[in-house]
Amino acid sequence: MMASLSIPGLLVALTLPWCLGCIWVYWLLRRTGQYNAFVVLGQGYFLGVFCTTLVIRVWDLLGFALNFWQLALVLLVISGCGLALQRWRPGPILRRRPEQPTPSWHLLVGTLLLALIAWRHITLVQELLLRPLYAWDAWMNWAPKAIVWFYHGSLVDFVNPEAWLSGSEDTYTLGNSQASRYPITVPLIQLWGMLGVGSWDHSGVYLPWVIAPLALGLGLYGHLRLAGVALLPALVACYLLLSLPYLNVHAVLAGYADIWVAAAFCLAVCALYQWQIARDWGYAVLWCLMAALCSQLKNPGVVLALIVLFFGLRLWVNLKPVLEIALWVVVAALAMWALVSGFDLQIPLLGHLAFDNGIFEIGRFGKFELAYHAVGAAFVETFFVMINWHLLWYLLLPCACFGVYRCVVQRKPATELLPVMAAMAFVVVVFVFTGYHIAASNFVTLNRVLLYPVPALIFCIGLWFRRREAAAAELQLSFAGSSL
Amino acid sequence: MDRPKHSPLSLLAQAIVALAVSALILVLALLGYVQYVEGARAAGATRVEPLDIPGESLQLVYGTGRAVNGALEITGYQASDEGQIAIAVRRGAFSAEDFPLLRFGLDTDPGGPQVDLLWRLASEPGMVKSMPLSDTDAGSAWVDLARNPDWHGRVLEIGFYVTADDAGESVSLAHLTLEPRSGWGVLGSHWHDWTAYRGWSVRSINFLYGAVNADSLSPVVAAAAWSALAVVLLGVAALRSGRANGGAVLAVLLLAWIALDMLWQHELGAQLASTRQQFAGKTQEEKHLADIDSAMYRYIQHLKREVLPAQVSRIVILHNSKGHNFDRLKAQYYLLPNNSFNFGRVPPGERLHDVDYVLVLGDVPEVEFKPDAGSLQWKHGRRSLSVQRVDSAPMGSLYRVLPVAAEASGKT
Repeated sequence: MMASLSIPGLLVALTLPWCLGCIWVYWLLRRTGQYNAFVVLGQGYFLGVFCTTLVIRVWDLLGFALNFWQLALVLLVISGCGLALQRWRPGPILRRRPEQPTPSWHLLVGTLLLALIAWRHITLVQELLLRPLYAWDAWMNWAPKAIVWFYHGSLVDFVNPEAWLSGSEDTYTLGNSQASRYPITVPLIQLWGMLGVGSWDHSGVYLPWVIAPLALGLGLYGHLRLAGVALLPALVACYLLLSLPYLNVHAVLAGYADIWVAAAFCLAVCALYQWQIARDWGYAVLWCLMAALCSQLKNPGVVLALIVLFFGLRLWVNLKPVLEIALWVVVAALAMWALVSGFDLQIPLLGHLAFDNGIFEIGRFGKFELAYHAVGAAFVETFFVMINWHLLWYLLLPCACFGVYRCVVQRKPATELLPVMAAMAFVVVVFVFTGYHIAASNFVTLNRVLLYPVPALIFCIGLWFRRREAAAAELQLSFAGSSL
Repeated sequence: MDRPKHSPLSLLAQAIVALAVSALILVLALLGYVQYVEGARAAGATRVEPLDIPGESLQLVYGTGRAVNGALEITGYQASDEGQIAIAVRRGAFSAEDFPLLRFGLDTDPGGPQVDLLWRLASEPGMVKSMPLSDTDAGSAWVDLARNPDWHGRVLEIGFYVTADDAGESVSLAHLTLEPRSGWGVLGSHWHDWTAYRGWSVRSINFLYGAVNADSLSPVVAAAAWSALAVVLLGVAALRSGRANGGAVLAVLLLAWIALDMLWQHELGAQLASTRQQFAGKTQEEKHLADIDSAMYRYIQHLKREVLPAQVSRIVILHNSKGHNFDRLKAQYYLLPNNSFNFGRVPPGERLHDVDYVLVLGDVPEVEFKPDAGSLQWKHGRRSLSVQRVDSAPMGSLYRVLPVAAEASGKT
């Protein structure tokens, strides 16, 4: 436990996945001509971390002991393959949109905002490095798996308490009976840091929790710039996101899964938006990968991944509006019929899907009794009274009015908002109509789940600040894409 | 003819002026409300003078101290169940309703002693009421005592209650000033509620109040009102001048956001100062020993280093709690990579498959160790498990499950 720390190992653990991800994102996007360094850095970090966890899983599956430098070598080889591919098959030359000169006062305000972001994150890094693991679920649900795997050098099974009592000596169970079934990507991120540092008990293991929001900020900025948003509004969007107290808390009191879910969902929405504009397959691969990452982080991430996949599919099929409305009517009728008469299905991968007498059962996620619960006060308090989100939800009120005006009067449907609205609907349904209403009333999980759509929401609002010519060009590209 | 656009500097100036006027209006409204509306309600009541209690005039009931520049500096504590304590009070009755506001000054190091205001009521002379106070950096801070449900009736004594982890921690108690209700006092109490150090709690990961107390005026609500009024003012100005100033509106919103964010940064900065005081320059082991769960850490390290074998053991943890309990879950965490089953107050079932140890954390009335029988008994002695007690400490007892018992334990 008190082994000497490996600083080179920590540096490699932090940078190698990021380099790997950047190389492959660059490879994916450069042939599209629709990218910038910030998109590559932002998407690259999460892709790299995801890839690292997959390599660990495959390595363990092959029966090899988990050794940091051997795993690092594999990541290095994968990075090298990416570099080699770029050498052998160069992509088109980057099509740069002619930039308007940035006014000097934009640069001045932008520098001030960057300074505020830097100040905040320097504070957070110091706090994180000084303090031993603090957040409750981090040491109850997530880190224990990583610690056990670190000790054994293999991904030992975690089972529910009943199975532990009758199982073999090699299985473990957790103090939270549900947590053994949680997806393993977050513990794998921790494990990778532990293998790098050479100890399970060091705060450096959790540095990715501060890097993740910064990488998300880079990705957000890059995607907004790519969409034609000027430097200052794109930086303002970044500042609004990275200054949110609730995001900061999940960075500094590290170890939870939620910041990763929020980032993966936001970057999936960003990639989906870019794919909608130009239909470049590189972005299709990217949003699929981010959706896959979402699904591997936490159980609600599966729903968010399905939302992304659904809207990706919708864009791909690109039905005529009349046909789509007709389809929705049929789906709504079928849903009503299923709710009235009940159903009982066995779905591959998902398991038992049933609805009977107000009780909804979804495979491994369990049973949910559907009933209305008055949790509006909790929503109001967290949106408008607590400091979790600063003024974000106050600003969303006029934004919502503007959105409706833009959609109805200006006839500019904000299709990029649809996945975010679906995610918001998911939050509302879960807390208003299921037993999770208690977790909303006592605020235990309400804000955590609200965190998932917030970065994507800021991206969508940031898009409204596109330059006129960029919006017009986008409209043309959209029409061209839809006629393909 | 197109009117010329506002320059960036002009937009910024408009935003700042609008925010300044908005702040002025809100402050005047609050002062006016307290002065005239609340004042009218209290018409006829006798106006009392503030009651000033310098630190040096306080009487030390516990601990030792000395007068320094009118303040009372605590130099020694008295050991108690709650740690090292010092209590300094002013005796003499007064009516709580006459003094709904408190202005106080105290100076402690970050992460230093906890200082509470304490008072005793004539209606409950045996009970001590208290509320936490935060460091005021040698200046003064306001507290709205009227919001505290225990601040009523006749107060017999009032003072400071200081709790320190370490006898070497210092605190300077400058003064307590009890005041009648005033607009500035109410304003000061809001400011103190927003800027006083709150620190992390186990609930911080779930939600964050922006103030010391949940029932304080939220800084988010105040910032929203402040910026909304400024936007209205800009709208009125735009209507009068006929020139759109959307840029100034965006600047107002951004400036209000930054102002709110500075409050949050202030809290993070205070938290970091406290964290530095607690952990800086320490090894990881020393950090655990300085943390809030140090007692549990120390106990589990004792078990791991001196009692349990080097290889991983299977351990059943018993604790007198239901659901997720901090102590029992921390014990499991610190026992890692040992393999623990951490549910219930009694051993799970009659047979414990391949379990090496039972750890009874704290006092668990349902389980009893019978040294003569060499067994743990539960369900009023109807169930038992043959064990050998291998360690006993105030935090808990560790029992090694005897091999024969693991196979054949059951009804006695």
